[in-house]
Amino acid sequence: MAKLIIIEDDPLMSRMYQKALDLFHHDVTLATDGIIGLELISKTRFDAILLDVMMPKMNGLDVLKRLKEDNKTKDIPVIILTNSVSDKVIDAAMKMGAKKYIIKSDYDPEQVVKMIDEIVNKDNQAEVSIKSKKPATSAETTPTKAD
Amino acid sequence: MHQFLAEQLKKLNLTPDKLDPTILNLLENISEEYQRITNLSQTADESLSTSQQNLAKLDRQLKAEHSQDEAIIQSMSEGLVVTDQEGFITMINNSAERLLALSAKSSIGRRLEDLVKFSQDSQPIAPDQLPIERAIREKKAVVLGLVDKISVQTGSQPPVPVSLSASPLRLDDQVTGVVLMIRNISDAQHMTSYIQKQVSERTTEVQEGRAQLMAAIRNLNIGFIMTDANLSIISVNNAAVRILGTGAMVHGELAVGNEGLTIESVDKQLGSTLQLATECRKSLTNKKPAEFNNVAFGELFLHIYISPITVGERSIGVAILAQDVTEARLLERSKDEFFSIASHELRTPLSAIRGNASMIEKFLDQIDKKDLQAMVHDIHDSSTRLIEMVRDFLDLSRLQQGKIKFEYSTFSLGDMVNDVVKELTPSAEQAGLYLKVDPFTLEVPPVKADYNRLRQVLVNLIGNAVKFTSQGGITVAGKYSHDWAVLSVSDTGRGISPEGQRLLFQKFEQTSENLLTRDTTRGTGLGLYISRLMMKGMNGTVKLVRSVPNRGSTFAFSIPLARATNTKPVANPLGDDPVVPSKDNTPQPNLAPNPKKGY
Repeated sequence: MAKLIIIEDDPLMSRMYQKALDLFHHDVTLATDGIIGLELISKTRFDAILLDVMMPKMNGLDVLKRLKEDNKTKDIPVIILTNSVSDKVIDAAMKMGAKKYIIKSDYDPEQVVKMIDEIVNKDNQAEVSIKSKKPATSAETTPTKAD
Repeated sequence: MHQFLAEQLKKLNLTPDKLDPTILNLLENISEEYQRITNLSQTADESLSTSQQNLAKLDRQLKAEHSQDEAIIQSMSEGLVVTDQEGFITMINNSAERLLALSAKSSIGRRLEDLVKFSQDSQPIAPDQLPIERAIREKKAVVLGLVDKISVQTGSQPPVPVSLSASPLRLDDQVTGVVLMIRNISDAQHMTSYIQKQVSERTTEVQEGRAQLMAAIRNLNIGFIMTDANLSIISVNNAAVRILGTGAMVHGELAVGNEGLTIESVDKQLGSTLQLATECRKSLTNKKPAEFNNVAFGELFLHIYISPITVGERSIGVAILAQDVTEARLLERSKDEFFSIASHELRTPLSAIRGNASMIEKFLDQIDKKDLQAMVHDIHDSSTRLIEMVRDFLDLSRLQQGKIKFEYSTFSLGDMVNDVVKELTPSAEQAGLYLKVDPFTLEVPPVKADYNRLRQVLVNLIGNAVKFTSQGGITVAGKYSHDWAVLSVSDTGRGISPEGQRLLFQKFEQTSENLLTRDTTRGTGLGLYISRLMMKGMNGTVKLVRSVPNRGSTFAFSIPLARATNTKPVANPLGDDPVVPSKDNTPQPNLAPNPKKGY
């Protein structure tokens, strides 16, 4: 079980992913915009952040930037979960250090949960390997984008 | 012995041999002297004869020369009048006789001023200012030409325009007379006036051409600046002030106006995007034009063209054209943004349908009934969202291509309002809002419009009001005046910020940052834009009438009453539509007054 936060303004989407993650017994917190999300992240330690891009007040890229600027949050894996298919946005997100870029409409929620699990588990393993002073495996940075 | 002496001796019967040798010697000397005198006399005779011949020849020559001079003087086209030092005429040539209508006989010995009248610019010339008098007095030549407008008149003859040249005749520094040359310049005057007329006509033409050119440049929608070689602005048109002044205003550093506009100030506003002054100087030096596209200037994008103005080998300045290509650029950009948003908006409900359906399919037995109900509800909701979106896209596309045919009928606005309110009341109540109709709405006379389209506009306005109001409610009120019915939808919502109001009419937010920072739950924001196009199609208008932050907004549309005679009645109470929808067939990205931003 991982502790996850979904930063997503559209209740239709957050409800669905919350349901899917519930089914796989994850602990899910919802934030309806970036500002609330950053506030929650500063108070609670999450295993991964699911971040939408197109949001009012503060968009996902700005949230990602803040997360990576802060030493306390920069190592939390961020998974972009969006329906924005712009190459420019994908490139920007990956350059800024997002672990994965998932386009919602291309996957069933179950597949999305599996991708999240993979990242969270790998990240945990990496943490272990750093603690045991073994070379860390390089983090996966390939965007997952299907047409 | 000299013959004369010999004869005298003979008369005296003396022979040389009878004479004393001394006397003989004397006689011989006398004889020689005689001989010498005789020789002299002969020589003198010969000389005299030669002299006489020479004289005669000289006389002939002189006569010939004189008559030649006379002929020249008499036949020259200029009139010549010679006077003595008192101004009395001593000679007058044929041309002068003709020109002045005088005869030599009647004029010699008289003063010219007594015979003819000289005038300057139609005014008589004072006697002491006459050229002969002046030449005598001033001892120098007096010349009066075309510009002096001198004319001469004899008796009742018509005045003749002339030029005059009076030269004093001098002898040992004494003025002994005056030679006055008179020329008839009526031809020259005609020529001059002809030339003047031509010059005036050409000048007018050039001035007209220049005025037309200047008017064209002044009213050109492209900014035009002309500078001298030092890059000081010598000419600037309205568009240049508007375009470059606007940029300056954005930066808040420069007063708008010709005076405030300099190449340096524009250069400063341009910042690092374009070194305008440097480029101008480059163009001045290499005498080649330069072109710069999509130059960012404040909020604008400019197309800048610099062209040197050359005279021969010399550059005397530059002409700068600055075209505002912001609109075109935004169009292009918002086209991309439209597809990006459209794609995003379509994918979201599709994701919800796909995701929820797949979870129900795979995990049905793990989902409790309440959750299942919620998931099915979301699927249904998403389908509705999709259908509405598809309808909006289709409407928009058809409206923009002019393919929608409005089916006009005459109906009661009040009935339509009641019908729509009845339909939307449940959703308003669900949101905890009231939805009221002002009773006067029912008094509005029948309107002429496409019932379904007008209904769609009203549904959109009330729908928006419900979306953006959290407390209070919505009031629909109809009224009418002259040929128009006006229906307003007022809410007690959060109001629209001035920025948001600007966006309502500006269709779309433009920067990519803003594109990402948008509220995706509120739909594509096509509704108001479609309403606008539809109202325009039905000869009406839809507008934001008033909006106060945290107090609410009022939108209203106007529609002609059925009793209005004109198809397009005058004095629409809401004014004309500020937005002219494009009629071309290209996909139009400028769809959405984005209603959620601040609404």
